[in-house]
Amino acid sequence: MSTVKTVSDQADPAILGKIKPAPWIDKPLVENKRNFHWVTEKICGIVERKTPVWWWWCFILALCIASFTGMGLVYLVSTGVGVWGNNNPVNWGWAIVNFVFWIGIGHAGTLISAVLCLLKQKWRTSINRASEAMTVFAVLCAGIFPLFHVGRVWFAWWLFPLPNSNAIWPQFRSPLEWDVFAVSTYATVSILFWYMGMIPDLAVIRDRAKETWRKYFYGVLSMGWRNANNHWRNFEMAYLLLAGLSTPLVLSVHTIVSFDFAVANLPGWHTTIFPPYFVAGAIFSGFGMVLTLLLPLRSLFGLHDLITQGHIDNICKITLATGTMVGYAYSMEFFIAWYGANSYESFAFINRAFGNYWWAYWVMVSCNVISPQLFWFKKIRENTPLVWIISIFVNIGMWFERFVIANTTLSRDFLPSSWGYYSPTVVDIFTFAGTFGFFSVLFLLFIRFLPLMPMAEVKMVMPQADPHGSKKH
Amino acid sequence: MIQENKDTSSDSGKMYWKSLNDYAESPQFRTWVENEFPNGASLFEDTQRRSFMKLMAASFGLAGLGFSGCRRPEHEILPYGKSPEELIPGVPNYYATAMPTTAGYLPLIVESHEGRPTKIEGNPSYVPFGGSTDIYAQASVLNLYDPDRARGSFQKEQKTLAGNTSIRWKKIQSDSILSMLNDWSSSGKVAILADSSYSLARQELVGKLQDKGVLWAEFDSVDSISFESELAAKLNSKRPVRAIPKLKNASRVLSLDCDFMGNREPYSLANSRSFMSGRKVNKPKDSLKMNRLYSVEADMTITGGVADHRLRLESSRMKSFLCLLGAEILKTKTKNDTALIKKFSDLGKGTSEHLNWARICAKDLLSANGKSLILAGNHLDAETHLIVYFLNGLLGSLDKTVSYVTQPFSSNLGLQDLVSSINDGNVDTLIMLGGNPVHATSGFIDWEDISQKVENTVRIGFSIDESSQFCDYHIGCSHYLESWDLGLTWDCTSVIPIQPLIAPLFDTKSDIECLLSLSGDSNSSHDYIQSLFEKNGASITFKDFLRLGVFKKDYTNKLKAEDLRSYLQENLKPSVSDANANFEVLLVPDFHALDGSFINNGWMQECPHPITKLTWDNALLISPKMAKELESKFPDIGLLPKPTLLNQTGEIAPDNAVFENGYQKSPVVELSVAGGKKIAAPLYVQPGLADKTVVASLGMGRKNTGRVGCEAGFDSYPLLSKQDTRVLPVLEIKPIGSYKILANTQEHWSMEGRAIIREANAEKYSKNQDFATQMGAESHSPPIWGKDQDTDLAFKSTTTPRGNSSYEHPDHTYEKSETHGIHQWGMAIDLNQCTGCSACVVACQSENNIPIVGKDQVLRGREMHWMRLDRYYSSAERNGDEIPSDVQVSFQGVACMHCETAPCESVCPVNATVHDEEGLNAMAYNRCVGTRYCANNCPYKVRRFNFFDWNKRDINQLYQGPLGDKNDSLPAMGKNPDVTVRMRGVMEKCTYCVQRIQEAKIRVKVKAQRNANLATGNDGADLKLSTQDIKVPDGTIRPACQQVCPSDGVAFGDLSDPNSRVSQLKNDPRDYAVLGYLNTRPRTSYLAKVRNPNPAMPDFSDSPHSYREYHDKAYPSHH
Repeated sequence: MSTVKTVSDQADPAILGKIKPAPWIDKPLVENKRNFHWVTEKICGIVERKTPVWWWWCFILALCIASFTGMGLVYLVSTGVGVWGNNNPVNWGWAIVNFVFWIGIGHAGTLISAVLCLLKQKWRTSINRASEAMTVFAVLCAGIFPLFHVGRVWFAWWLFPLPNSNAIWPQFRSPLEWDVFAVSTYATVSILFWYMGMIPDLAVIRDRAKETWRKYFYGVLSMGWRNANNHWRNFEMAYLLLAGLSTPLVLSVHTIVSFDFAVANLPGWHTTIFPPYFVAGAIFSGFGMVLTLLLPLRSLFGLHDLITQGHIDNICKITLATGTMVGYAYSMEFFIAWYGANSYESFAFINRAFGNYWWAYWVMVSCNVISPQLFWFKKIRENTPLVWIISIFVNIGMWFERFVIANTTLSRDFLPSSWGYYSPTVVDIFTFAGTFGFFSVLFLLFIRFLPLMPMAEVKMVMPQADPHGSKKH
Repeated sequence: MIQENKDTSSDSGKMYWKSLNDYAESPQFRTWVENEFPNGASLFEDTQRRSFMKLMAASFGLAGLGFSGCRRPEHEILPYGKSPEELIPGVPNYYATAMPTTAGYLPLIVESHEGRPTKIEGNPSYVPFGGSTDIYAQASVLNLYDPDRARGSFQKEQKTLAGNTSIRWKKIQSDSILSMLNDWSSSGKVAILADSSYSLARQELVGKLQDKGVLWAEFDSVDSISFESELAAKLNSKRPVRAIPKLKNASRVLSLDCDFMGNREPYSLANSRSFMSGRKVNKPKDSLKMNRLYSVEADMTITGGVADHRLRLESSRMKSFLCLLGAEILKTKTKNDTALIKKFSDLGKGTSEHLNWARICAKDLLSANGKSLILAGNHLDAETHLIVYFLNGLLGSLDKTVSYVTQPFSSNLGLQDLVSSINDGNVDTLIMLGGNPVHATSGFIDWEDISQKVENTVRIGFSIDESSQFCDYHIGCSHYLESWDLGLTWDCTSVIPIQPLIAPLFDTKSDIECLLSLSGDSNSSHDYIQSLFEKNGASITFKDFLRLGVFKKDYTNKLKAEDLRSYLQENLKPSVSDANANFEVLLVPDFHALDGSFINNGWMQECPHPITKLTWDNALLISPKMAKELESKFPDIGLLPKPTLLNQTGEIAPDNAVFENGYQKSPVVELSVAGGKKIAAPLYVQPGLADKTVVASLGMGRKNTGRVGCEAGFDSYPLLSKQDTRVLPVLEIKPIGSYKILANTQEHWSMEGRAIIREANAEKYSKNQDFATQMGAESHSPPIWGKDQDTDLAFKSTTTPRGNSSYEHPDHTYEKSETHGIHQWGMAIDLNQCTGCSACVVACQSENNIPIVGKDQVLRGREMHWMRLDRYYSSAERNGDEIPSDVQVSFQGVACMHCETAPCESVCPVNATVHDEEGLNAMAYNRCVGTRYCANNCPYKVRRFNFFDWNKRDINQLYQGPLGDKNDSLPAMGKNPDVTVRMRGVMEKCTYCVQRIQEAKIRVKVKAQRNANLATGNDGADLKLSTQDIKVPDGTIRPACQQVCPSDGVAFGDLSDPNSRVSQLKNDPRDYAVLGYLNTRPRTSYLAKVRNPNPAMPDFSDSPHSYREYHDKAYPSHH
């Protein structure tokens, strides 16, 4: 076997001398040569400092907005689903659109914490905690809609396989039933993953705490973490296992959400492209939301050294890639509709672009396909306000994507006699707007009381953690 | 239970309901309040009672949330102290009775549950109707429980306070009004203005009253028989002459503005039944023997929808066209009578552009050898009917396809005669019995003036309406289900009883009771009716008569044939207008409200108009051409589609044009006719209308009506200046700048070239019997049954054939089930039999406790009909930018298809909709949580969701949730106890009337058990019943839609029985499944429609328009 040359045999191929490649320098993940202490002070400082005035204003505002959802739901449950704009044929209106929108947003958090962890993408460390928090809160917001959109919410527990005297089980063939399992698993794993990752950091805050309530509060939360070696060994193994467990969830949850549509037989829904297309869209929207949240955080708390331009670049590139995938999916849908030679299908897609909801379709295309193309340009990626604005577009576009999918198909299906039109009511709008308040309330509480970044993990990717240099020269 | 009127009672229309608000506004009360609570008096100014109650309810509600609110509401069960005879709780009784209509008595069998009539069916003993009923009869049971009917009898209290006249009605005993009436009549000068009636009892009592000097006049809001007396005069008959069509014998029919199968003409049930029986196509060869209908009409009616050839022509030009056609018939029949031919040709000049049409039509009518028939609409003048009589004679149709008879009721004084009597001072006491003359004649009679001249006025009416407002006393009139009577059918060949199903719910009197009291007869109405029946020389006992519900006795006399040639030659006048004439307005009875009497009936209001699909409103229908004209005159009016990118490639125009975000926004215009009479009404562009005709309907827009109909539509009666002239020239139409939102249940007009309703011409079908299965996406793919394609229907329905599919899918068949489904239910709907009359929609509503949802909710697309009737237009001109003028109309009744592989079942997360072993797609309301996924996934969109508590809440206060008012409890009495009343949040849909299926199965099983018990002496578990014993015989079970259908278009039965009618229909080559390519394998399939056009006609097309639409879309390269 001596004839086979391995790569190590030619670690320095001769050609290298000729072409003289520029040395590859990893950009530091924490800029300005900050040390460990600075990181601890920075992150813990946010929690320990006096509550900023802006936080209070934001919190009160968010609470007020969140109350819209509360009031909307009270009205809905006391009066009937009719207070929303749903009708026959559009039996699912904004509720399901909002559900898919919020659940999609969650995906970036899981992708960053799990998939990037397994792929050893070290840059993830400074953004994964906040993104995971985003995931958990987004899933909570998402959960509201499928729960409350049902006609008799007081019986919604029938969707769970609980033994009962009637011996009736849920119907396991229904994608909605799959949703119950997919989303509840996802929520459970995300919360576990998020919380477990926080334990070492909570212990740090506990150790630094001066007030008694803090000692107890963080003491309980950190579950007796002592930074012991075997704590770390167990922690890292558990972290890896949860990362492994979460990785398929990134794909499965939105795949199953897409089954809500793809398993139905309606033209425009009944397509095999939906699972990959939905997953790409979810990651796309999630990264959009990560940008939307992190850029303001970064400047509010002066985290520029931790969330660097390199991070923003990376997120922008992922957004560009997934946005383009989504665009590809849009065009492929048209191709298949034509190629499939099914007149109902082809009508459904022509109708999407030019029919009664044409405006929604073109909002979707311009936000999701056109606007991320700007990320090809470095100048734009470096223009933080512009990046933030584009990220908002991504959020808007992805909401419209779900709106277009859900409503164009339902409003124009098989029999023209039952075609209808759907418009949301004030209650729809306020209930949805309120979830942004609800999300903000949770997120504000998070940044106020919990460590915004995994200090230990950030420190691990700093040059100081590797004093001897792990890289060959 | 009935809430007996509280003292604030008769909570109906605003005028006679003393609400707290009303009290609060009266000065006496204000003074009292100010004396009593000097500081608190102002409270009543700002705070409405209702909002106060709401606020209080909220706080009480919150207070009650803790403990006290957690109890179930208490209900009382009232068992019978003494059980009535023949009554088994839970088992309904059926009684024969009849509904009195202006078109004769409609024989009925009424279902009664524990004394409450709940469902109306036709009495099959009356052969011409064959057990069918019309939509109004179906809806009439709701009138019995109308919370806004007159709940008793009243005296008017008119108060004039500070210049404001307000009318209040004080409840008094009906008997005291009747005794007052007797006092007045003894002092003379009594006049009665009544609606027309086919009651023999009334006829006799009228005779008695007239002998006593009472003036009797008759008046119908919409007069459909006035020409009969004029015709009689010309035909030398003493009694009014009536044409009774015998369409069964007719193979060629020309309808001249005659909606003989719709609500505009009497006897439409018999007409539909007999005419459509001539369109039955049992074998492909039969299609060549189909009858053919030529329809010349101004309006787009359901009769025109059935027509094989349809000519749009203004009503005012009908006579001209008839002459044009007459000349062609005369040319063949009597070549030498040139003078008359010339006369007819001259009169027909106004419509000479249709000469070719008329000529070929005439030729076809003549070729049928006495099996042809011309029918004219009842709004056309007597002269037109005279010409029709003459031409029918020429065609040799008399006594073959139509019989002209004299009917037994002599014509009475009319309203004008009564008015002149009043003006002459001959009337002191005026009694208005039934009808609603004050409202219908508001355009031409000065009732203010009359009220000055009459001393006493008494109204006997069903609800407090416009005519009651004119009177001093109102005697509540009993519903026909609370009365005794005896009368005749329209053809006057059968005597029909009206027997009460229930004692009057309120202190009301039937018309017979009132007339009996007036004539001084102390008999009860029952005794009177019985003695009258026995006196009439009947051969059966009264009891048997009541059981049978029909007693055949011909009251008509055959008309002596008259030769009209010389009469016509001399008297025909050229009173016909030509093509350049002005616009005309055609006034027709409204589909929803009829003449106005059904305006407060929620089922009728919500049942979509068969053609326009409008609910809760009527509209001025105008032709696309007229719309164009108006658009050019008033560019901002917004009637016609604006071209969009999409409608240039497809036919999406109408909904994009007229529907803004799903709401149909109609410009309101003012339409004026001669005499300064005008109305304001919304416009609706209706394809198929004559270019210059505006169609307005009579009966909607009444002011003094109940809570249901109070905002429904506009009133066209003010346009009338003479009662029987219903075609008027229009002076002007101009927009007034406002818009009205119309609730239309079908936004889209065209089938988009989809193979939903499959149609072919008779000629084609006779040659290619498989045309229906060669259409649709499934015709391009391997057969869904795969290798099981050729198995018989019973096999396909009792198993779930796998075909060639390699996928497993769940097997719902009974072999896998513990209980065997010995029946396999299925339905076949023959599209060739459907006229679009919509009776099935209301029959289903009545049988299955389907709630109404109100206009606002219909606008939101939440109507609840389990059975809907889809209407599609197709046209030869297919330009997406333009609304076509000439359209073919196709109807399709759609209800749950009970798919074998139902898409709804597999997506329900809680197993609320499941398949049963007999093939029913069952809906378990109790299990439903309301995800609505089933409704999304239903390709036929037949599932209906309870977005609100329709049954519990007042439909005007749905959005107030628990703070809103509860529904009046009266309509709940009419609910079918065999069907669950659904709460909010659950899905519902057609069940194939599972309650009827179960009832029949139980009955058959009980009978089998009894027989087996008698034969073997065994009992209980020892009884062995064979499958054959407990199989329900074919035809026993008829769902409500099938039972009501006058044209026999629906068949239901057991598919596992190869001899059942439904099996046979499903083996018909025309049988197809809608959207069959989805492999849903629906248990309801359709039989394709066959049209029978005349190849010689100028508008002939070798395939129906919808077929060409399909073909052009499916095979675009074949152009």
